[in-house]
Amino acid sequence: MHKQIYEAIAELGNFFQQICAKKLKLDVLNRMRGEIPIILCKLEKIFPPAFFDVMVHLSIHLIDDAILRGPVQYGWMYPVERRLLTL
Amino acid sequence: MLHPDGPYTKFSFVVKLLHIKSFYRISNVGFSAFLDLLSSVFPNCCIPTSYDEAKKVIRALGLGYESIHVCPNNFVLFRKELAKKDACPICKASRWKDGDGRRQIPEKVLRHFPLIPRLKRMFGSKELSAEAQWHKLKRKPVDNELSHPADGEAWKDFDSKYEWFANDARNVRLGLATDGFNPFGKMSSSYSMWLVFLIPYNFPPWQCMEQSNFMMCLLIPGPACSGKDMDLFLQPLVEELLDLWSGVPTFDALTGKEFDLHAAVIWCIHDYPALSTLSGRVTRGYYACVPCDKHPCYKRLRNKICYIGHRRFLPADHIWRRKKDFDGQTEERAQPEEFTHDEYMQQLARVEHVKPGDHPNNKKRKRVEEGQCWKRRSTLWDLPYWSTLKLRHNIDVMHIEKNICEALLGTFLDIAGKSKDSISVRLDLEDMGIRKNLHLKDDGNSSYSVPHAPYMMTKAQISAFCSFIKNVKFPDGYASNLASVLVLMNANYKH
Repeated sequence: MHKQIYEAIAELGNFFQQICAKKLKLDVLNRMRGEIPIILCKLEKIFPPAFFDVMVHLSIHLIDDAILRGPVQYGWMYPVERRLLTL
Repeated sequence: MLHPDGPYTKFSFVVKLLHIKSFYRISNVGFSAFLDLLSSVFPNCCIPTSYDEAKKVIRALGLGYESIHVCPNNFVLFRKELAKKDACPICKASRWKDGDGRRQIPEKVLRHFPLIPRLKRMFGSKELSAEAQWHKLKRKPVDNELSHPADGEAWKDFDSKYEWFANDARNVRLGLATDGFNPFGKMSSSYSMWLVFLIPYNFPPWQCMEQSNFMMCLLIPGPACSGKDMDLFLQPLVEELLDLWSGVPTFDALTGKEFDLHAAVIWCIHDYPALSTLSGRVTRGYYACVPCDKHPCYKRLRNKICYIGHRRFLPADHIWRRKKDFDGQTEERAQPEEFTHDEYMQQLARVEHVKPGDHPNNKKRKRVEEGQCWKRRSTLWDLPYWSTLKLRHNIDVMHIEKNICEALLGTFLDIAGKSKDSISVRLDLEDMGIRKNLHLKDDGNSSYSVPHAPYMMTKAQISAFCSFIKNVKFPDGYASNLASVLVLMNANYKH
């Protein structure tokens, strides 16, 4: 695998790991707000445009949501889906 | 007491029996027969003699629900002044399954689990009443750290706008969660029911998202829940929420006094398609991205729409904005903007005429104006505080993470049907004039070949990847059986 591709994906994975943390730090979030467009631009250089469906695009707004709401576990579907036994 | 020497009261005995009944799915008749036998063998114990009697014992708890009949075409709910009507006043369809309505079997039933008694019961217990005030009285906020929704901007903003609400720690903040599910398991995939939960956010983090604290409010019947009909089903809930906003007298066990309980929904939790069901905001097409209201970053491709142009989120002087290898052009536009409050109101005013309900033979599709992002005005806008909320609908992190991961893996491993790479994708690249090495190659004789892309794995890499995944070990219950998935995948790569 090319180093360039590997790096972009690892950064994206790191981004999701950080945003799903139990406690979020405001300064870290503000730093990540600057990082996510760069990660997505790196992906845009690698993958063809059709790869970018709305789900990929939405990851850019996750930081703003997290600052408004607080940690991710208070606003995601995991508990609901587990309750309904679909997961 | 059920029996003078035994540890069980009649009530706890009946609760356990009913639990066993629903857990092992014993039929009503079988359960009654079983109770009948028990009560005749032990005549001295006050065992109920049938299922109905057993249900009567626990009815006093107030955990019951209200069945509301629905018009078959989702125009009206048969409640209040319509409670006695036999047919829908708008579409004239009968409310009953059997034409003459003598046996009165309803066509569609919405189950409404009243919220107010549940919240009242919460304050009836000293422990729960104390826990419900945790967010204000016991929480120790740390600077620069978010660990509870109370740390979030949306919560603080709500507090500053409605100080009277924030002053009493007992006032409940709720999250509205909704999801469709399939009551028949894998037997039928065409029927889905919708559930609406309310989640109280007053509790400490270790209790907040606990499943036992979820309050189920509505059970919406299938077979399908199309967007605007959701408003109809939400009506009973919204009426209760309006009452709760103006205050409901409640007894607090902690102080031993009555007080006015207020509650507000501060945001909704759902997956991305359900966002449009619940809110009326479009989530597909050009304006699919909810926070990007004006000038969204979409691009029309040959057979779909993609959302590229993330350079717009970079600083204005970033070097990548001047490069041409992204989409063949430089980028000068700034980030997409959100609507202001007034623009929201304009958008919603334009769709005020959209009402729930649809005739089955009405198939006309209406053309939507350019820039119109809202399909209807959801009943949730009737809540007086709804327009002032900063975060109305959460974007679900779980599904985004899952879908991106699926797309990545599908493209890397080139799984048929999952891969985002195809011939038309390569043609798109040609249209935009970028990445010449990926364009289709003319082999002569009017046949073309698809060149290998750097983001696709070679066969050796795929088998190395599979054998790695096979050997990863997860804690019990954390992942499904990956080895069995791999067997399926290997079958695809045999050729």
